[in-house]
Formats: sequence, structure tokens, C-alpha cells
Amino acid sequence: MYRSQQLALKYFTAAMVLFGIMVVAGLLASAQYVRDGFLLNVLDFSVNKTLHIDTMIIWLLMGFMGAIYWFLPIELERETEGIRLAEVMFWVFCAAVAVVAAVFIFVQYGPSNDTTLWLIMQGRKYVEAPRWAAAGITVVVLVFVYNVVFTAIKAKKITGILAVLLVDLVPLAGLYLIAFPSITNMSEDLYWWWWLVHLWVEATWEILIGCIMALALMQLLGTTRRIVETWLYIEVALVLGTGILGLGHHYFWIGTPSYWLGIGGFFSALEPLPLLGMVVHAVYDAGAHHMKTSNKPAFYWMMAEAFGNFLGGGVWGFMMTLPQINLFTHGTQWTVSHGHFAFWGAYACGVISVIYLALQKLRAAQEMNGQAWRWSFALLNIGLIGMVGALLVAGIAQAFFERAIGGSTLYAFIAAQSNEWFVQGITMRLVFGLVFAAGYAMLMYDLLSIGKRSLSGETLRTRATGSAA
Amino acid sequence: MTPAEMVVTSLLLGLFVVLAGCYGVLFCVGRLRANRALLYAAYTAYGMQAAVAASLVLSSSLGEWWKLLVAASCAVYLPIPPATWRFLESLHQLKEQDS
Repeated sequence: MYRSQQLALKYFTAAMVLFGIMVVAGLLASAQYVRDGFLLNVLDFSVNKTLHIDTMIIWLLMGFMGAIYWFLPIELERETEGIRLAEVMFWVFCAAVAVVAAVFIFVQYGPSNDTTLWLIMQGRKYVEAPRWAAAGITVVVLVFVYNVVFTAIKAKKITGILAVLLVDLVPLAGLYLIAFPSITNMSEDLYWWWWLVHLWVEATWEILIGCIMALALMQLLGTTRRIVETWLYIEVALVLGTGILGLGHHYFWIGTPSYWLGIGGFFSALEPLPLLGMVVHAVYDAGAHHMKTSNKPAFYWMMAEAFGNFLGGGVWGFMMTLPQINLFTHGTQWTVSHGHFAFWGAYACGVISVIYLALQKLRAAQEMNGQAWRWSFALLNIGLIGMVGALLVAGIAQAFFERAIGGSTLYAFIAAQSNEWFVQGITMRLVFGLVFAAGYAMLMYDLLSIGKRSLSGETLRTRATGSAA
Repeated sequence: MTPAEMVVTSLLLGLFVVLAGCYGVLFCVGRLRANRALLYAAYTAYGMQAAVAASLVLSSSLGEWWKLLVAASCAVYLPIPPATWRFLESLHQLKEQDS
């Protein structure tokens, strides 16, 4: 095994730990919705929410980096260039995340000055990390870019997937720099902030996961390079074609010119089209291989990615993307429902799939199967669908009573928060959150034991059959 | 747009894409299994999608441009599953030629 792949396993481990913290913080925040005053002044809602969304970003990013460190030496048939530096950066990354989390929990906020921005928190959603940590993450990402670029140069080899990945690394690193400025004009600040949030998520990350899935498909189903690369080019063209200007749906109500209503609405409405193509592709692949694979969990999680992306991004997105609807739905639990479903479908399922692939090789398991992964797959997906369904009910109630009827006044906000539909939706979100947490626990058990279990079982069975014959 | 119209319109928009997904999946499974009933079901799903689009165009309070967009995208959804299918078939034929 290459050192790069050992590093990948460390990234996967860190990602799964952060996934767990995300689940716990999410549960605490959802409990605080249900019970006023829960953990007040101990672990406030704002801290739990920040931890929940920031760990979500970081565990997915670590999962992506792990996946690239895993596949890169296979793709280029050599060790990753600058691997020692990459190993150091992994620990720097972990230390930075731990310190930032501790500061969020124990310090939380400071006076409105540069010291707070540099040492405590920047206060911008998703990129709350103080500047020193943001600088650290930038260095980590730059080293990651260096690893990939220089490994390709040293190998004197370029593949189609690698070419797409190399181009994608430029905005991946570059857009993160938007985490630094502190613009006092809110419209201006949000204008650029959405470049980071939307273009990372709906452009660079989509391409990154597309490259990772292309590499995974070759390993999982033995799909030829020609097929995955051709499909990757098409997917990149379609996703970028609709996703970049789809950014406009975030510009509807932040003080930008009104032409963004047309641009954002139009391109967002086109976003489900490539997702439908991906669903057809997934079903075709599943049928062409008769659902036969030596790594069932990886295969099912990959399928879940295609369907989850379509439902979470396509269906949930299209419900609320046209400006006339979005006027009422933006910033409600409806949006939260869409966010949960889309992130889960588009990215989380893909990362879990790749981890199962890596574990199969690590444990030299001929077959990855069993009962535990089925339970974790079912519990996580039922929990997630239950949560997004409950949030959708709460969001519809909010959009209906608070926005459309109440006209977004403070009184309407308070009234909607105590509306029966809203309360029941928020309560059910917590219930399904617990189901999701059970799925996470089962996933951890399975990741720690799958392959070891099936290998020994298979070996015993083979030996028994052999001796009987 | 009244509050009730807002909710109904957005749910119809969601249903519009759900039915597109049903059409795509049923079409693909129908072709894989060479099952005529599934292919009919696929086109029925598309027919329902077109009906949802028609109701959005005819009875919702969406602006004219958005109605036009819904109608146009409904037309665009029709060839996506067959075109994707044909493309995948040709790709896999290339794979067989390669091997």
C-alpha cells in the first residue's frame, strides 16, 4: 500500500469522527428547537448550529481529500509527490479543527475588532473559523494541490480524469480565499460570500465528486476509462453550464440588481436536467452489471448518491427556486430541508462509498457484505428522509403562516414558531435525527469490522467446502 | 399569488421533477428488462408530468416567462432518458469493441 493511501485512511478516519460530531451537534441543536432553554449558556444553539454546519463542510472536504490521496497513486502508478509534507499537513488540519471547535465551545464570541476576527470567529456562516485557522486550511489545500500537480508532473502522465481534477483544483483553492475579507456592506459581503458557498458546492465540489466517482466506478464495476471519462466530460459541461449561473438564486433578496431574478431562476430551473441523466446512468450501470459486485455497500451508496442528488438537489431545489415561490421560502426550514437532502445525496453518500472501497483493499476482502451495512444504510437513509420530510412540513408552515399570510413581521414569526404544523415538524425532525444517529453508530461498527468479518467467514466457508470436497 | 397558491404551485413544481425521475427510471428499467409494460408506465409518468406542467401553465399564478420555462423544460425532459440510453449503449458497444 502506498503512503498516500495510508494518509487517505487517516483522512477517512478524521472525516468519520467529524461526521459523528456533526450528528451530535445537530441533535443538540434540534433538541433546542423542541425544548426552550435546553443547555442555555452551557452549549448555546448558535454554537451547536455552527459546529453542525462547519463539521459538515470539513468532514466532506476531508473525505474528498482522502479519496484523492487514495486514488492518485493508483491512477499515476507512483507514490504521491511531497507525501511527507501532506502527512504533516493532515495533523495541522486536525489540530486546527480541534482548536477552532474548542474556541467555539468555550469562548464563542468576542468584541467587534480584528482580534476576534483573527483568533475567535469571523461570524460568517460556513466560514466562521477565525482567520488563523482559515489561513491554515488554505495552506493545507495548497499542499494538496501541490501533491496532485507535482505527482502528475513527475509521473509525466495525464489522464482525462486527472486533467479535469487539476483544472478543478484552481477554483477549489482560489474560492476559499473569499473566506478572508470582512466587507461591512452586507449586500457586497453576501455577494462574494455566495461565490464561496455556492460555487464551491455546486461547481467545484460537484466536479471533484464527479472525478472521485469516475475513479471509484473503474475500481468498483470495472467500467472502462473511455466510458467514465466521456461521461465525466458531459457531466462537467452540464453541471457547470447550469450550476455557475444558478448562483443567481442566492442573489434574489440580498440587494443585488433585479436581473438576477431572471438569471438565477432560469439556470436553477435547468439544474435538475443533468441530474436526471445521472439517474438514468446509475440505473443503466446497475442493470448492466445485474447488481453484482464484490462490494455491495460501496455500490449501494453510489446508487444512493445518484438518487439523493436528484431528489435533494433536483426535486427539493425546483420546488423553491423560482423567484415567485422563493420570495416566501428562502431562509425557512424549507431551505434547511433542501440543504440536508442535497448535501447528503450529492456528497456524503459518495464519500461513504469510497471509504467502503478503500476498506476492501485494506482488508484484502474478496467480498464486502453482511447485515450491518444494510442496517446502517437503511437507518441513515430513513433517518435522513424523515428529517427532510419533517423539515419540509415545518418549512411549508413557516412560509405559509409567517411569510405569505403574516407578511414576515416579528409577530408573524413568533406565531409561526408556535404553529402546530411547525412544532410537529420540528419535533419529528428530532425523532428522525435519532434514527439517523443510530444509523451512524451502525455505520461506524460496520466500517470497523466489515471485511475482517466477511474475510474470515468466507475463508472458513471456502476451507470447509474444500475439505468436504 | 395567494398563500394557498404558493404552496400548491411549489408542490406541483416538486411533483413535476419527481415524475421526470419516475419517467427516467421506468424507461431505463423497461429497456434493461425489455419490458413493454414498464415502458408504457414510463410514458404514463411522462404524460402525468406533462399534465402537471399544463396545470402550472394554465392555472398557477406564475409569471408568463416562468410558465414558458416550465413548458419548455417539460419538452426537454422527454428526450433525456432515450438519448442518455442510446448514448450509454453506444459507449458500452465501444467498450466491447475495445476488448
